Order: sequence, then C-alpha cells, then structure tokens
Amino acid sequence: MPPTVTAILVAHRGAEHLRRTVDALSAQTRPVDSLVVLGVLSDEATTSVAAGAAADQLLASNEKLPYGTALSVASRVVPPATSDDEWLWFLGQDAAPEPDALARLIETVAVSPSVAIAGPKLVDWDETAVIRELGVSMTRFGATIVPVEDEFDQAQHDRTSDMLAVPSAGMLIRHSVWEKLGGFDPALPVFDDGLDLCVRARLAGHRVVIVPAARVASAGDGVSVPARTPKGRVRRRQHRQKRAAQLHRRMAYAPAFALAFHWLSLVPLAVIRSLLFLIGKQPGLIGGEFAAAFATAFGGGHVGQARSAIKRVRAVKWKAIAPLRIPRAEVRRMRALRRETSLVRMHGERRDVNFFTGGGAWVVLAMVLMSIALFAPFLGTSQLGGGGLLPLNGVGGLWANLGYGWRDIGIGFVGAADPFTGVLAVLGSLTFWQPSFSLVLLWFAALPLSALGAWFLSTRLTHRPVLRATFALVWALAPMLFDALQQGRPAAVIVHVLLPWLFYAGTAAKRSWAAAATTGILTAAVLACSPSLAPALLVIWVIGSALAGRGVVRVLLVPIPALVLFAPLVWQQVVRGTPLAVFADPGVPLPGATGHPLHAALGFADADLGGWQSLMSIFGLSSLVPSIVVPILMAPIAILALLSLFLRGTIRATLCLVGALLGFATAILALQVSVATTGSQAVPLFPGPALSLYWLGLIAAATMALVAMGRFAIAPATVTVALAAVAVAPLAIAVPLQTSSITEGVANALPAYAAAQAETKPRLGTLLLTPQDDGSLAAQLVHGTGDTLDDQSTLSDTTRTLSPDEKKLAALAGNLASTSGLDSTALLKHFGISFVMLQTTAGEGISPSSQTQLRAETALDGNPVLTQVASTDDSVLWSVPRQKATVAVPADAGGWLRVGVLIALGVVFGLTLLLALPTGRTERGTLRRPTAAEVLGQRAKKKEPEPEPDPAEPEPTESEAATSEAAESETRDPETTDPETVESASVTDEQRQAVDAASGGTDSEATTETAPTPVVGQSAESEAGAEPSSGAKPDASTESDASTEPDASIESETSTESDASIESQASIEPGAGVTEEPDADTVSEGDRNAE
Amino acid sequence: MPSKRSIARGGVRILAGVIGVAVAAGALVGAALVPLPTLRVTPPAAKVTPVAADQQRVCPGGLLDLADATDASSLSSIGSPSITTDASTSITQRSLKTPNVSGGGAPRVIATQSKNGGERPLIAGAQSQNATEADIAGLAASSCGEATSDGWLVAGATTLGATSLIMLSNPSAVQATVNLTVYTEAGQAEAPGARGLVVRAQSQLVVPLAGIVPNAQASVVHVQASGGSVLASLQQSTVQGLAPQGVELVGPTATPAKHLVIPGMTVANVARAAGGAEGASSSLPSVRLLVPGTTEAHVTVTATSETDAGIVGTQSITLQGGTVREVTFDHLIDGAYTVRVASDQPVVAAARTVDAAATKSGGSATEQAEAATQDFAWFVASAPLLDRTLLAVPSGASPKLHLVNDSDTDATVKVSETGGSTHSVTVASGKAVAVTVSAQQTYTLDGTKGLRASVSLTADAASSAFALNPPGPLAQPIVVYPK
Repeated sequence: MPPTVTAILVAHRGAEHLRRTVDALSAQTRPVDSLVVLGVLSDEATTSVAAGAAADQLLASNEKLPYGTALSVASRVVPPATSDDEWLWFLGQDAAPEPDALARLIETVAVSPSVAIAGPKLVDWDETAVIRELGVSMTRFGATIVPVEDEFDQAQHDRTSDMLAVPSAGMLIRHSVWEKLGGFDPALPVFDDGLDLCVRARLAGHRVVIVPAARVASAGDGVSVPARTPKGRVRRRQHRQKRAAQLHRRMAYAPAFALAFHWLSLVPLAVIRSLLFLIGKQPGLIGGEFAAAFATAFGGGHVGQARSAIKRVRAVKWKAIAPLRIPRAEVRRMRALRRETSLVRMHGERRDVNFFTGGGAWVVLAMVLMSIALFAPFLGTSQLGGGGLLPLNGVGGLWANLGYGWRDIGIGFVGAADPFTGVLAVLGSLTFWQPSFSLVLLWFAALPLSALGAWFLSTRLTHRPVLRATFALVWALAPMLFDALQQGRPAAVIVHVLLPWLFYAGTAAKRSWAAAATTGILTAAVLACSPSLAPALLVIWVIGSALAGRGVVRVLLVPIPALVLFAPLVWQQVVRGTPLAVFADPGVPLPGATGHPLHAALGFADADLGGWQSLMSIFGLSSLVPSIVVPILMAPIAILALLSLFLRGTIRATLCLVGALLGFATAILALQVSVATTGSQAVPLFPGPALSLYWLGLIAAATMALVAMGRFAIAPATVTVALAAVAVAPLAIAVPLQTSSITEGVANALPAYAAAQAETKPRLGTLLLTPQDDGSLAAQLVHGTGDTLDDQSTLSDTTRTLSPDEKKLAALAGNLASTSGLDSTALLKHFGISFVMLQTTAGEGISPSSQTQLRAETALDGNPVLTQVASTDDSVLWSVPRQKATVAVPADAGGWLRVGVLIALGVVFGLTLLLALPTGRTERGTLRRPTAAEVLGQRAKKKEPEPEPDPAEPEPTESEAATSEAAESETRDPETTDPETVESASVTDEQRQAVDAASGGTDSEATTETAPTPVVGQSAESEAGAEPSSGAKPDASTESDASTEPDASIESETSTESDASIESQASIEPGAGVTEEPDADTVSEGDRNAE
Repeated sequence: MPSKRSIARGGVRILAGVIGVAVAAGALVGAALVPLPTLRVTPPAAKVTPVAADQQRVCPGGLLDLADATDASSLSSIGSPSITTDASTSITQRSLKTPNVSGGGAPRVIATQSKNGGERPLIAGAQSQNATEADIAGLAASSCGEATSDGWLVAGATTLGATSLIMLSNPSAVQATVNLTVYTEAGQAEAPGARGLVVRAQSQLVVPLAGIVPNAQASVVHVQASGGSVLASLQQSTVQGLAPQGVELVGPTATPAKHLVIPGMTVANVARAAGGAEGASSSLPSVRLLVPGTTEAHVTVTATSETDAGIVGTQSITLQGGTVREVTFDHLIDGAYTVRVASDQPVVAAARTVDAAATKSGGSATEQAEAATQDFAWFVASAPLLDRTLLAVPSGASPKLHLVNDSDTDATVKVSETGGSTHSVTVASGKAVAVTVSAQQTYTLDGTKGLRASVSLTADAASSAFALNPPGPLAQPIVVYPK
C-alpha cells in the first residue's frame, strides 16, 4: 500500500507567508493526500488565504493555541490510523516546503520501516542557501543542542541522516506512532516540542531521521519555530521558555531516584546561572531564569504527566539513545565556533588606546616624578596626619564599620555608616598590613592617577597624543586637587582621581552592561566621597538617560549602587528631620575659611587663592596683585573653553560646558551651606569636588577647541599647561614651604603616656577638652589611641540636638573645667574616662579661648580626682588614677538591621561587580541570531582580498564617543566626523586586521569542514562494508559521492553510534584553532557548570 | 561657495558661542554679586552651670616689714589685721603657714561648706590694718579673695623708698608652681628668679619685688600658678626720708579686657597732698595701664564723678605692648570717681590716689615735710557681680560702698545689714552711687547683677580700698559642645 500523507497546516496571522506556504504545498511534486488547515486567532486576510488553500478540512480556533496543541487538535479530525503507511506532515504558515520536499521525505521513510519520524532541513525563508536548523539533539546532560544552525549550505551536511530528533516544523510522522505517543507534550509549547516527541519515539523503539535533501523554508514567525528576532523583550521571553522546557525535560527524563535532587537543585542552579549571566553581561535573562525554575518547581502536574507518557511507550532503555547525544567536547567546540562567528559580526567593539605608544605612559611618569619631588619630605613615612587625615583602623575594623551599626565616635551610637567608610575599606585593604599607609600612597599617587584617568578620558576626545597629554596634565595640575592634598582632604582627592574614570565609563554605559555597572560603582564611590555632587550628577544622569536611546536600561542601572549605599544614611537623616545633612562632607569636619565665589571660579577652593595671597604678602606686595595675576594664568583655559562653542563640535562642547556650569553652581552653593559642625563652629561644605567637576567640563571643552584648531593647537596647548602649572605652583610646593596642613605621623595624637596605655586597653577613654574661639569648650570622648578616619560619622557631625549621654558629658566637662562641687567620679566611671586632655593651643595672647584654657587648666589642676601626668606645648594631660572601668562597644549594636544592611550592600555590590567584571565578551553578538545576509556576508568576505568594514557599525561614532554621556547625539552633526578622519581610518585599519584574523578563522573552519570529508567517508564506508544492507539505498545515486553518504551505512543503532562518534571527531579539528581562545573556554566552562 | 547648510551651521555656532559667553559672564556676576541664601546650622551646645562648690577665701594676712629690701629672709610681721567675715552657712577659719616670715599675722583661710546640690553658699571677708610703725604707716584694707591660677597685680614700685612685696597665698592641698612676669615702665623684665617659684600647700610665700626688678617706678605683675592656686597680693609701702608715706595691700585687678571699670576712686585732700614738698605729679590721682603682649593699644581713660555723673577727666594715650604707663588726672577735686578704661586691646589697669594728713602748724619746711603723713590707696578694676553678693566691711574710717551700673537698665539694690535694717538703692544706668556702710559690719546685697562695686575707707592719711568681685570666674556657667 502506498503511503498516504495528511498535511496539517497551522496558520496564525500573516497572510503573505501563508500564501507562499499554501502555494508551496500545492506545488509539491508528490502532492499531499489531504490537507487540514487550522487557523488560530487568524485575521480575515489570513483566513481568506487559508480558505483558498483547497483544504480538505478548514478549522479555526479562537483560542491562542501553541503549535503543538494546535497540531493535536487538528490531527483529531484526521481519521484514526489504520495502517503504518499513513503519515502526518506538520507545517506552519512560516514553513514553506520546496517542491520536492515531501517526495524526498517519503523516499527516505519508505525504505526504512523502522523510521517513524523524518524531518527536513530548515532553510532561510528568503535565502535558501542558508541552513537555519538541521535536526536537534541533546547533550549528555539533556540540554538542547542544534548541531547545525545558521550555516551557509555548501552541502557539507547533506550526508547527515541519523539525528536524535528533528524539529516540529516540517516533521513527517507516522500517524500510528503519533497516536501512540499521544502528541506533543503540552508542557513544551514553544521549545523542544519536536525534540521531546522524537525522544519518546526513540524510546518506543522507532527511528528518527533527518532528510537534508528535503528543504523547508522557515520564516521564523513564531508559529512552527520560535520567532527569530533581535528584540530584547522577545529574547528574554524565549530564554524563559527555553529554560522552562529544558528543566521540564530534565524532570521528565530523570530517573526516579534523582528527581528529588533535581527538584532541590532548581532554585540554586537558577541563582548560579544568574550570576553567570551577570558575568556574561546578560542581566535581562535573569528574570526568565527564575521564572522558569519556579514554574518547574511548583508548576503542578506537568512533570508527572510527561513521565507517565514516557513510561507508557518506553520499549528500549535510555542507554539506547545515549550514543545519539552530542558529546561534551563536541558541544564545547560548537559553542566556541558560534561565539567566534558572532565575534566576527561584532568586530570593532574594543579599540586599542595606545597608552604606551600614545604618550600616556610619559605623562604618568612625569607626574610620578613630580609627586615624589613635591612630597619628598614624606618619603619613607608610614602615616600622614594633619588636616582631615587620621589613621585608619585595621582591615577587619575597616570592613566592620560598613553599613549600619556602632559608630565609635565620641560616646558612640548606633547608626548608619557614611558611605565613605566603604571607600576607605577598599582603600585600606590595598595595604592590608597597615591600612593607614594607603593614605600615604594615595597622596603620592594622586597626581599620576589623576593624569592616568584623564588620559584615558581624553581618548574619547581626541586621538592626538599632544592634546591627550595636555588634557591629562591640566587635569593633574588642577588647583582643587592641590587644595585637597594640602588641606588633607582624602575624600576630595579620591573624587579628583575617580571623576575621569566615571565619565570614561559613563560614556560607554549605554552600549555595554560592563561599562554601566562600572559607572554605577564609580558613581557610588564618587558620591560616597562627596555627597554634595549628587544634584549635579543627577542632572547629568537625566541628560544621559534622555540621550541614551535604546541603551536607556543600562543607564538606568547606574544610580542603583549609590542609592543602596546611601539608603540607610538618607533614611536616618530624613527620619531625624535633617535631610539636607545627607550632603555633609564625610571624614573629619574641617571648618576652614570659605573662599570667595570668584576664587572658586578660578578653581581654588580655599580663601587664600591657592597660596598666592600669602606668597604676595611675604614679598610685601598688595593683595590685589594675585587677584590680577591668577586670573591671567587661568585665562587660556577659560578662553579655549568658550571658544569651543564657536568651533566644530558645538553640541559636545555645550554638553561639556553644561557639566562645568553644574560643577560651578554646586561649588557656589556649597560655599553657602554648612550642615555639619565641630565644636562651636559650623563646617561649610568643601567646594573642591564640585570644582573638580567644573574643571573637568572646562578642560574638556578647551580640549575640544584645541582639537578643532588642528595643527595650530600646539602653541595654545603649551601655553595653557605652562600657565596652569604656574598658577598652582604656590599650592604645589606647600609641603617644602611648610605651609601645608599635612604632616608626617599622626597629628593631635594622644600624649605618649596615654597612648602607651591605650595600646593595651583599646577602650581606654580620654576626655579631650578644646577651648573654642568664643570662650566655650568642646568636649570629646576618645577611645583607645584616638579617633580614626573611618570612625568619623556625618550623622554625628550634623546632629542638631544633644542626646542624654551627651548632656551628661557636657555636664562632666563643664564641671571639670570649673570650680565645682561635683563629685566627678561617677560620671568619669560612666564614660570610662581614664585621661583628661586639655588642648592648650589657644596661645599666650589674651582671648576668650585662652581664658577658657586657663580656667580649665586651673580647675583640672585643682581637682583632687585628677593627677597631671604630662604637659606638652599643645596639651596637658591628667590621668584619673582610680579609674579602672572602660566602656565596651555594645555587643549587639545594630542588631538585625546591621545584618540586613550588610547583606543588601553585599548583594547589590556583588552583583554589580560581577556585571562590571571585564570578560572580554561582547554583549549583543552572542545573543542575536545572524541574518541570512550576515551568514552569507561572512562567507562572501573571506573570498574577497580586502574586506570592507561592516557598514552597520558607523565607527566614527564609536571613536568619537564624547566625554559626556549625552554626547552621542553628536553623530547627527555630520562635521564631527571630519577632524577624526585620520583616527577613524586608523581604527578601520585595526578593524580590518581583526576581521582578517577572524575571517581567517572561518576560512580554516570552512576548509577543514570540507577537507575531512574523505576521511569521514572512508570510515563510514568501512562501517558500511560491515553492514549487510549497504547497497540497498535508492538515494545513494543522487549524491555525487555515494560512499560518503553516511545514511547508507545506517541500519542499526550500533552503527549510528559509531557514525556519530566519527562525525564528532572529524569536526573537532576545525575548532582546534578556536578553542585556544581563553575566553571561549571560560564561558563554556561556566555554561557547563550551570548545567 | 559655502552651502546653505554650512551657513546655517556657522550661524548656530555663533549663536551657541554668544549664548555660552553670556551664560558664563552671568554665572560669574551672579556668583559674585547675587546674595545667595545661606544655610548655617547652629552647633548643639549645653550651657553648664557648675555644681556649687565649697567656697574658701584667703585673707592675705598682716603687713610685713622688710629689714633688707632685697633679702626675703628678713621679713617680719607687724601684727595681725582685723578680719570681718560672714557667710550664708557656717564658716571655718584656719591659718596658712608662713615659712619665711617671722612673727604672727599669718594669712587666714575662711571656708564654708556647700549644701548638697544647693545654691552656691555666699562668703565674704575683709581685713584691714592700720600700721603705725616707723617705716610703715597707713591704712591697708583688703578683701579676702579667691585663689586662682592667674592674676594681675597692678601696683608696686621699687624706687628708693618704695618697698613692694608679692604675697602668694596657696590655700589648696597641693603645692603651686608660680611664674611671675613683671612689667615695668621699661617693658617686660627679664627675671629668671621669678620663674618656677614653689608655694607649698597651705602656706604663703613672700617675694620682694625689688629682687626681681630693682628700681622700677611702676610695675605690673602677672601671676600664673600651676598645680595649686594662689591668691596674689602686693604690699606696697613708701618712705620719704624717714617719714612713712603710706602703705597699701593690693589685690588682683580684673583680668585683661578692652573695657575696664574702676569704681569708687576716692580723692581726698588732693590739694594738700599735691602741695607737698615732693613733685606734685606723684601725688596726683593716676591710673596705671598695661597692654599685655606686644601689640600697641589706643586707650582712653575717663574719670566720672559719682555725684553728678559728669566726665571730669579724659586721657587718651597710645600704649606700647608690655610697657607700663601711668596717666595722671590733675584737675580732680575731692570726691569719688568712676574710672573707665576703653581700649582696642585687652588691658589691665588700677588707679592710685594719695591722701595726706594736715600738716602740723609751725616748724621748718623740712620738719613739716618730714612730719607730713600721707597714705595712698590703690583702686583696682572690678568684675561684674552676680545677683546676690555678700559684703564684709573691715574696720576703718567712713567706709563707703561704691556701685557702678554700666548696663542699659537701672538697677535697684537691696542692702541688708546683717542683723539690722534694710534699704534699697537705685543705681541708674550708666551712673554710680556711693552707699555709706558701717565698719566691721556685713551686708547682703540683692540685685547686684552686672554691677561693679568697691569699698573705700577714707580718713586723713589713712585711705584704702578694695574691689568686690563675684565668686571666681571658674564657677561661671560655661558653654560646652560635647561633640
């Protein structure tokens, strides 16, 4: 009896595709015997096309049925199978068979009674020379593998026949087997439906073959095969469906004893895989990963149904299909290959910045030498003091200070840590053996590190080494940096070092997850050092988001680490009613004199105009002289910055100057605001970091003007650098001049007598009394050897009320400094005070503070409870001889909030760091299926002697990425490409090399894939020789080399096994050159781990 | 030829540039000129009023006679002063040891216990002694003062005939190390022997000023103690030829300030004293001034009559830092004056007047001069009082309480004699009044907050005065920033 074929065609919306499919069906050289068309939620156009298909049965469904379910529904109208010669052919509107497709399929199945399922080669809808899919298989662990995907069809796979499974699109299945198997698994609506059906068929003892000669054009509408689209939303949904399908099959296929283990591993695996997705820069897939895991774990009875369906039909052992699985080495090879091809598509993402050849190294080296010269007195010191510099705790203490908990400053309290402690913890861990030494390193490294960051940022502005060096030098010789260095403000120094990196990463944030995550961490660090920059950075972020286009999701990630880092502090400040206090500068509150706004405009944060005024008064010149000289020295930068608006690149210059304006506005506001206090003084915000932002925008705009000047830029650039260097000279040489606040060793340390005792008693209390300028007295409780930088807390500095304990301390201090009848023993014991130290820096002159100093000294001397033990120029120390008590830190300070905050910080920063890790992998290429043109294009390229750079990526835009995140809009300015033609040309050359290298790889791949054919053929032949039925193949003659047709040899399962192994062995060779790529290994390793 | 596009682009650039320059200029001008709102937080502070302590005062003791002007070991006491004391609670007395003085008249410490947590007890004491020795004659009255670590003695001279003794009384339980810094008309004296003087606990040390600065016309002594506290007093006596020309026991004056008030400078028999054989200027009322440190100061000294409140004398001088100067009032008639010192730098000051007894009729001019008895009195600047003050008036002729009100509001003081009558005195703003009180009597003054007061004792050739001071500055409320 000749076979009869019933085609079942499922149509959704899409009349165009359906029309071609219907036409293709009617054009079959071996026509179908009957046709069932099922319209699922079809529109009128589609329905009318379906109606014109001359179908035997025309069905319609108003429910949204998945392909598999639709086929099951439709197959019910087909009369039940009466013989094994009745076949069902599954097609969707997006699967148009070539005219001889059915004939080829029938030819194959007709000669092999054991074959129950046959699948065609799915080719591209428009370009039939591109194989979209050829069969489906599984790894040893059950993961779906499509062995041949998106390849240029050079008949290299046409000998393939045995395959573990075939996709559901274009599948030809024996009706009786279809009925016996019970159709597709309803739990696999989109992915793996064909794979699962074929596996069950195999288990039931049937064979599945792929028929490469039968070709079906597949459009990827999402009907018969999952939609092929680069849309992120669809991609994320498909990942969920794919993962759900895989997990479902894992549960369905697993032996009973392993079920519990698999079930328990679902969520942990999702966590691990999510981390790997972060490293792989695909954070969008994480949601789907968890959704799939939870759906499988708690999704109800699907697994049970699937397991019983298998159990019902299983005739052979699982072991029987094991040889058909793809071995691990082959899997790895295929993944590496796929990544390689996607890399080729993605070429040009990374550019060489030529740090060493481009002069960056020389600039940094010059700054290293200058730094050593300027801070020479501190060479060999292990600790710096003075200004805002204090020692750091040990590494353990540094990290313990993070988050929320005991703030060991003064009496101590439970509260949120300053985010700055996190920066200090990282910094101090660099010199973990002595964290305080890291501050010395920071002081020496500040200049070179600033120059380094600025140099890298300058690569986004210009390719000219001279201008890059100019930018880096002017940034490193910034007045606000020297202000911060000489006043001892580590936070402001760190901001100046990090700011160029922030914008370097920020300009790439919309294109890359890694850059976005890096920007997020840098933003958190910069804001931690200077919360007052938050409004300015917020504005820049909003502008950047508005201009980010499709990359807006990545840009939106940027503020998250900073938000989490600041959340506890903001919450506490808001609850306390002092929300503005969030902006207080972290670290030691330094009152200092506030500068004039016009000084700030020149870049100087202090009141002394960068030391110029003191210098002039030394020479007896009027204070008006610096007011004239310094503006002249700074004039070139200002002139160039404004000039940039008139020259090429107006829009980018505008954005830079908007940044500068934001910085300036922040600085001016900072001069007006003081939210913290120390003693009797209000502490104004330090405008230095804001001025750094101002300076950055200014010199970026100035550099743009220089870029636009072309070869006339050398002279102005030289003048600018020279004058800027002169302008900061008085500040720069402050250490040799001894006008700097910073000193070697610890300033304001406890006298040796108390320090020696504090070494052994870390909670030793010392009451520090400091007469204030207005005649009042500041009283501070110090524990151990003294305050540390990471113990500082803005929560403490910005409080406006006194706690009961603070009132007690005030009463104690006030009475100690007075002739008093108070028996201070009880209070001294309450606070665990062993020493009382009076600062005697008020001097000899008659002033309110010296009166208070005298009063306190007299009273303390006359106090019978105290004994004077030491007296220096700066302080007098009394001990409390009978004091034995110390006050320990409460053991449970912070409680669960501490744990919670630490976990939240750890999770957010851990994940962001994972996402920021440079993996060397490109981000988009690995995710997107290539278009037919791309598959063909790659093939075409290798044949050309000089390939063209991919026109899809306009490289000049990449090379011209601007300083500001928003600068991308510049691509609309056609002229901006002009100045960089040299650069883009050079970049293109680099790309060409990259393309050449990559296409060289594909070359070898292509040749090796065709070259070993005789080898395969020979071994296959030798196998075939052992087979009795080898000569009986009717289609053997259709191939030019009949002996290479592996199908000829396959009759039994054993031969399939050997064939597969030979195939895989042969195909390892082309991958050999690729697997040396270390990254490819890393990622595939990761993927494997995840499985 | 430029295309339309490039012209448009150029236009946009020029527009952007002009706007940019305008914005930059605007930002600079705005930052420099526009008054921006400021935010300044007030540091949290606690005003601490010290718990009331036991109070003690030191009465400096009897006048001393120095046989050899430079030998400190030749000191002998010429008797004990009469002491008047009172306190709001029970009072105890003890004497200090005087290791380098022979004879009695040791300094007395009067003390009173504070009640637990209650108000500070009031205590007052004053001593006076009328010396009639061959070389020391005159009235010397002094209040019993608080020991401090820092005091200024504005008095003393070591010229021929003048003897000045610095008396350092340490009532505390620990020894005090005292540094004396002596300023004279020649500037700050270099005196190594004045550093590191040890005053034992519960004892008095007497240092002749001549041992430190010989031949100084006008001295100011800065007493700084560490360890224990001391009460510094200065005994100055003068001999003209063989005739004693007065004695005075001067307590510490007010701490350096830009504005000083010396209440109740009493001028008596000025015509008689100034008409003496010796140069008139040394007998005229004068004010001794010193600017500590090295800065120059412009000082205006005014004397205002207590009775009509008119300014009767104004002197403006420029003081070199560290140099003692005296300004003299040569037009004052007999009466009580309030002396105010206004300066642009902190200064210390005290005033001195000379009072002479009527000459005996007959005899030669030399006899008259030798027989003429004089006494001088030092009036030191005083500090503003608290609301309630206890006053002890020692023995002496016509004691007067001088009250000066430099505040903006009139003050009414209730003067209650211990075990006697009560009456009220109104002191108008900016004015001064003199209240007649009885010798060897004590008074409670209510409503004296902010007033300055002194007591003067005036008789022919027997004048003295002392200032009333509030309980030590060490017990004043203090603002503490416990951060």
